[in-house]
Amino acid sequence: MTTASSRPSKSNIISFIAVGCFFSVCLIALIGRFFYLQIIKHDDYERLAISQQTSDTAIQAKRGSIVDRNGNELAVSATAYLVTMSPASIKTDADRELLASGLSEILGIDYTTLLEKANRDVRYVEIIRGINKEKEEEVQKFLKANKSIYNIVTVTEIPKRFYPHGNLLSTVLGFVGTDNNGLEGVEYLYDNYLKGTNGKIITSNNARGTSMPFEYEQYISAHDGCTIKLTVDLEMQYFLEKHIQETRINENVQNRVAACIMDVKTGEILGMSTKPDYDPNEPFKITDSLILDSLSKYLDPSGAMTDEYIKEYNKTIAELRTNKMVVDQYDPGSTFKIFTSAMALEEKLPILNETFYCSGNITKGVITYHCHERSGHGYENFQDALANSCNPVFIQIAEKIGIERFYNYITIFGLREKTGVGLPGEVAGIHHALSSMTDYNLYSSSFGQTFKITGMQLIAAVSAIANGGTYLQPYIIKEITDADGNIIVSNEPKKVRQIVSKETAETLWKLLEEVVARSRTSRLEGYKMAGKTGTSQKVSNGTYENNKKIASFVCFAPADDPQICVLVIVDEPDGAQIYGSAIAAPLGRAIMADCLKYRNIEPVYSDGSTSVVKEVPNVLGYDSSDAASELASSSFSTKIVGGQGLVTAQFPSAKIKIPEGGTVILYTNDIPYERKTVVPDLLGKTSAECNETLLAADLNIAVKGTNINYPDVVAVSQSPEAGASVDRGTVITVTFE
Amino acid sequence: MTSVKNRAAEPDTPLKKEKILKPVDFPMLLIILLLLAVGIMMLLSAGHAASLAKTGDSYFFIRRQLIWAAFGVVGMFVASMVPPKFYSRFIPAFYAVSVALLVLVLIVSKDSEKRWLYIGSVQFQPSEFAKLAVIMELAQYIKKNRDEMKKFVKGFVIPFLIFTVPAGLVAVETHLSGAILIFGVGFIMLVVGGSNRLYCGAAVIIGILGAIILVFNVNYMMERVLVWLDPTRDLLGNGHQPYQSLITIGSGGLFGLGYGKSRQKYLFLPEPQNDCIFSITAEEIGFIGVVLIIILFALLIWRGIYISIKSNNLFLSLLSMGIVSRVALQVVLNLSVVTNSTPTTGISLPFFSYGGTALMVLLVEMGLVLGVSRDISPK
Repeated sequence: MTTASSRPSKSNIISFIAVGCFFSVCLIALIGRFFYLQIIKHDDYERLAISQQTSDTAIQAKRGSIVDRNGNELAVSATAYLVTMSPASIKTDADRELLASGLSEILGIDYTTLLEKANRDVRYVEIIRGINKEKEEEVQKFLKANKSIYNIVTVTEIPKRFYPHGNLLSTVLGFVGTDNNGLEGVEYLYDNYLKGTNGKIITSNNARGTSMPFEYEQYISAHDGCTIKLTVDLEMQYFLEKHIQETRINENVQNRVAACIMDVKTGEILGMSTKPDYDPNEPFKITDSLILDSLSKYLDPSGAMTDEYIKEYNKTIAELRTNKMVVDQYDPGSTFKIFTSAMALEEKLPILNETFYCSGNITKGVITYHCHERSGHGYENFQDALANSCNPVFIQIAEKIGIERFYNYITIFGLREKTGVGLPGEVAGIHHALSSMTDYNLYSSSFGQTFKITGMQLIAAVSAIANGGTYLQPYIIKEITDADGNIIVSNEPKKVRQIVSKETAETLWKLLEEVVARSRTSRLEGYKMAGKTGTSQKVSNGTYENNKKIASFVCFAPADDPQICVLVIVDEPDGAQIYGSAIAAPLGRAIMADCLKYRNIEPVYSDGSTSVVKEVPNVLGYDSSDAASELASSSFSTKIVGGQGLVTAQFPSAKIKIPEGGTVILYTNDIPYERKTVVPDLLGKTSAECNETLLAADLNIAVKGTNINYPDVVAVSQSPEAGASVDRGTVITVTFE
Repeated sequence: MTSVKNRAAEPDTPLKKEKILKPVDFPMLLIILLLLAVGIMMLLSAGHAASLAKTGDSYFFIRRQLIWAAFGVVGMFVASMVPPKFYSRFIPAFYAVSVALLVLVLIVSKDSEKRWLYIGSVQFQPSEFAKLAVIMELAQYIKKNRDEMKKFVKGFVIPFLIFTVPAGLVAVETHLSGAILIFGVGFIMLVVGGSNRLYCGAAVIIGILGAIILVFNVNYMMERVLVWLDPTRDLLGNGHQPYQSLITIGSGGLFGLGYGKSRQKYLFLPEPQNDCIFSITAEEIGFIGVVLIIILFALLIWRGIYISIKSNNLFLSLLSMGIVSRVALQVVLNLSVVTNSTPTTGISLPFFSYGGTALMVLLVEMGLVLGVSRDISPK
């Protein structure tokens, strides 16, 4: 009875089973839910999980190098170390002193400075940045020996950029910031190539980002940055900078001097610089003493830095980093006459057969344009006008070309758009719009004023003329190679368009060669060089500043087969001379001379007859008439002293070398002779006069120098000196300039 | 009849002095020990990162859990051997004390969540005891009033109050999951105890309607529901745990990452040692492991029901059924929460979650079930 009544009833049991079934259904449903989450949606959740669980510790990729065309390193990355500490974690003063004394000794930092840092109540203080591996090891050793400060000081690997040549090419190369990002120049523009891809150690991290003991770790190696090979030639860059720095100092240049060397057959930039510049190893520091001097006027009388000084300092260093050749626009001045000439020739205007007249000024409408020669050049042909840089003539030519054609040629010459040379911050020119261009604008434009272009645009267009009229894409990046040595980018010479015909180009070569040849300051001994100077007025706020000039010179050589084009821009010379012909031309010539020598292009003296030397044959004992014909067959002329008969003496004697066509003096036996003669003074004489004078003195001439036939080319030195007593027939070497 | 009833519940032990204890149900014992072993294994893996983060010692949690488990297993065997006749007389007092402690904790606890009581350095949750007290009290009450269970007051209102009063107190502690458990278990016992289905059905309908009204009128509850529907809605707040839990479970896949290889336990997933321990389990041993563990729980439930059915005594039967239902309900709720199948509420997983009081009480309860099983075991 009791047993039966205390047992669960059938209805109890049924409801037990019902409850069991209910929970079973719940559990089965949950299994379904797990199936959905773990099997069907697995991939989605796995992705979410991995993205939040992994934390990357970057493995710094090594920044790629920048090298010149021959592989010389211009910018390289090295590993350096950053030492930091957490002063707030230092427990005792004894530890502070230990740390300060130990590290100051190893790192060469002032002890008190370090102790002051150690006393700050902060968790992060930079002790020193950029120490090398040896120092790093010393620091590690010191820390290991002193457990109490071991966790206070942290040494981290940081990449350090090093520019082995200091200031060299700095305005092109640019620099990197402390975060290893390129900030200017090639470093900036090609940062993505150079910096590479950082690798990472993916560690499973906890959600608080602190490290936990964990097995899961994945190592993704870093891809080092690409190496960039520039078209620049370190050697050419070196002398380019040497010359422009000299000019900057000598001519007291108030602004900056810029120069560029371009290979006219490829479009490659071989050298490019602006001075003064900066040292990319210390990109925030002005190193140039002249600039520091000029800034010192902002200093407090006590020598303390004022806010104004800091402002000016920062402004100046920012300017020093710019690459004037591509970022500064200027009025090209008379160098632009090359293009005005090219337009006229290309349009087949009969300028070469025309005679122009320059009265010293020309009046067009309400404006009178003056020639730089106020008294006028008088009658002149086109060659004269170009050599004289005669504005009135070019105004007349521009008038014939007309606004529309002039405007179109500016576009064709690429002066309206950026050259795309591959440098950051490049600008295009500022030009008159076709619709608003007046005749006055046209006249001024003919001699390169009232509009602006960059040096880069000018040299690219002149190089086009120099290579026969084909505008080549100028470029400074030759090759980009990845860390494994695969070439990623390779720039080849690229024709953009024909801007003038070959015929026009070659006519210009001759015209410009003559321009240079006629200028004492431009012409380059032993070489045929074409070029044009310019002195432009600087425009400030729309008005010309008469006292501020830009002297420039563009040249290419050899003029019969141009290879190299050089442009120099001297902004605000303030010395004895301010004209392009006086300042820029000698600078450009000096650079060109070094370029040609570097390219192994030997000087050729243009007067062929004096350049070939031959041995004088022995005619002693000959009959004088036989001797004369013998000498004539060796293309020597003969001067016989005395009558017909046997030759008793000859000057120069046999085996002596004299220039072809030189004179051999023969004495016949019945006349006593004076062996010696006195060398006459030849300085200031033209070559013809020298020849005459020497011949009269029974001496021979060897000519050095080019273009001796021009009337303004005169002897500048002679060897032996005037007054020396020499044998008759001796060769006197005369240098003309 | 009446006099018998007025005494404490009296199992049929006519020859108690000579009687040697019959053995416990072996399959049930095996299932319990298996679950305990698996649970501790999983805590060892899932909890060490959180343990290190919270205490500075990777093995702090597992050491404490092992100590509690050891005590728990001893408690389980003791409980399985204590004659029901002996403990049944203390049930009303146990119930009264439990309710009193629930009131006390509300008064003395200074925590924002008023769950813990401290006696010296020992802390415990009165709600854990309340769960068992409610089950025991209800089992005893229903046994006593089994013939009057269809009546409204005696068969519905009084037993309803027996569990709703503690459930309400736990709810006031802001321990919502504890309240839900007590309420759920109490209600199941009311139903299986033979209360009028009509009243029960009406209570369910009223409860559901009340819940709906509550959700739509209380902002934070509505927010909970919205976050449940889309955890990404509040990733830094309430959505964080369910979102991370889903990632944890989902990233486990079919075979899991391998025991000990969870990544999510590194502080991504909140409470990896407690409420979310099963997410880590799913991540480490995959869907296959999940199914095996769920099967283990199902076996526990069905073996418990089998014991309840076979019991000769309604009190023991209901006690066993109540305990099994409590575990089953907690498992289902916990798994629902970690899979975001229901809105999130803090509910631990029996045998797995870190927590001394809960494990102790659970094992004692299992001991009670095993004690019940002694009567049904084959001779």
